[in-house]
Amino acid sequence: MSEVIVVTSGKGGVGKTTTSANVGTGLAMLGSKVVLIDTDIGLRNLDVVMGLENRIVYNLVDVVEGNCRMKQALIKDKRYPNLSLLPSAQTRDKTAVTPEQMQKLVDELREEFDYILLDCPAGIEQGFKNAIAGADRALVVTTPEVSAIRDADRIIGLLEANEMKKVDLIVNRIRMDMVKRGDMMSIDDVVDILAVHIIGAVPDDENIVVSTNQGEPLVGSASPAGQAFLNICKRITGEDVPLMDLNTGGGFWSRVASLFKRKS
Amino acid sequence: MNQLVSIKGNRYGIAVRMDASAPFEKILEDAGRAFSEAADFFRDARMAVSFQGRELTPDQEGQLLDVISAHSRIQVVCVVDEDKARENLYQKAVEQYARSATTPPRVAEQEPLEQEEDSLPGNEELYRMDEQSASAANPGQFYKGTLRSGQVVESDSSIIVLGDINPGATVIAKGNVVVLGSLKGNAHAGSNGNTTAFVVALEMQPMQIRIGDVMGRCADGVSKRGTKPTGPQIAFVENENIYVESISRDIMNEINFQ
Repeated sequence: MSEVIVVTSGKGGVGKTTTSANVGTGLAMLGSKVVLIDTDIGLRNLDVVMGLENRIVYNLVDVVEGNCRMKQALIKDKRYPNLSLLPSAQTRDKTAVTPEQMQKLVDELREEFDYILLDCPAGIEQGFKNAIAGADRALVVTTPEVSAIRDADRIIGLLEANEMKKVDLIVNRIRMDMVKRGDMMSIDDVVDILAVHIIGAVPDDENIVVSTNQGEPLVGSASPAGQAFLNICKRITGEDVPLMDLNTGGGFWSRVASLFKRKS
Repeated sequence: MNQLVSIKGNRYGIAVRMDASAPFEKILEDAGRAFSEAADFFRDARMAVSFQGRELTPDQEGQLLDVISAHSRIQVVCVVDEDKARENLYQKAVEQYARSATTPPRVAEQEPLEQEEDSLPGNEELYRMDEQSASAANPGQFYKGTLRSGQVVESDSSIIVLGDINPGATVIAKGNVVVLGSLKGNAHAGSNGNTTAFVVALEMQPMQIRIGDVMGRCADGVSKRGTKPTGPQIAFVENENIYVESISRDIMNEINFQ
């Protein structure tokens, strides 16, 4: 019944953590019981994006090492009681946990939660191996840049080699005005290269920066990115939602932007 | 001239090297000479002494100590058997003495040297600290530098940090925590359960503060725009709650710590 989803990308800075926070919150918003796990041991920041940093007492490594019970380490979200976070340790490194331990931990959580979201660290080393160990399904995040796509391609290859049952693509930070000018790859271009199922595209949105700094995911809000993330959540639950027409959104915002440009 | 006894000093004590073959009476004689010569140099230092070069009976050891006190003003804190960890032991003995001399007599009564071993830190991070300050037995330690995310400094005593504690960094002390900078991370004072410990910072914007087993965390949503400077503040426990107040004379007078 429950599904374990790993959010990964290979390249850093493309929006794994933002995606994890928003998809996790979105799924909770839709009524599922969700737990977010930060597997980036040593460089934790999912807790910061969720605005839950000040509640951390125990972490993933404590659970794995048996210093505390799972219940003690899980942090309840501020807004959704059906959303929890398992923060990672900051004072340790990736070798503190093995894929087997990760798998066991995830299986323990399966009993209680509908969705278990794993925020994967950048790279393809131990941290990546830990994160994908217990996962049924992967969300590969990329931006429409060759470097990110190259890494995403590598990651998809590794996921397939590890027999990941389902791999979906999220194209993040797309700017339709640039796509129109021919300065940026379109969603279709990216999907052509990577040849995996696309589950959503998220427009570049400055509200993301604001929401990240405030520690409140913007999924479900009126902003373009908030809508895009909510659509992704609905698709994850199996609902059939057509891809958002970013053209109107992008067109509108570029029109607003050009309006200001003309003024100045 | 052939000396039967020579004195070598190190940081924490002196080693008395004796000729192995000469009769003990000669040794005593020469020791008197050696210590009279060195008396000005050592003055009334407190030191640990080790005897090297020959086996001594407890009686002979006592005689030698008498000679030392007769010919110099050195205060012998303890006599150390010859072994590899010699300097280590000197250090502990002298520091233990130094501490008992500066703390109230109530504490000074319970001064067993063996206890040192038990109270030694059981953690790598701490050993690092000890190397820096070389004083596990002191009532306070200093740490210079900013603690960044993921760094932890632990202390068996109180700790004074000359720098900031950034978010994600942690200071843990069995005694009090004083931060001469901004406390933006976690601080845990009285980590052995002592709720009379306190936390002081020049800028108090902590993520979490723990004192003994009482925990407090910052209010949500403060990081929205640059937080206002707080000025020097102190956190302490009252009625199972952590209170944070600006430092004033009244507050200082009310602090009762052990």
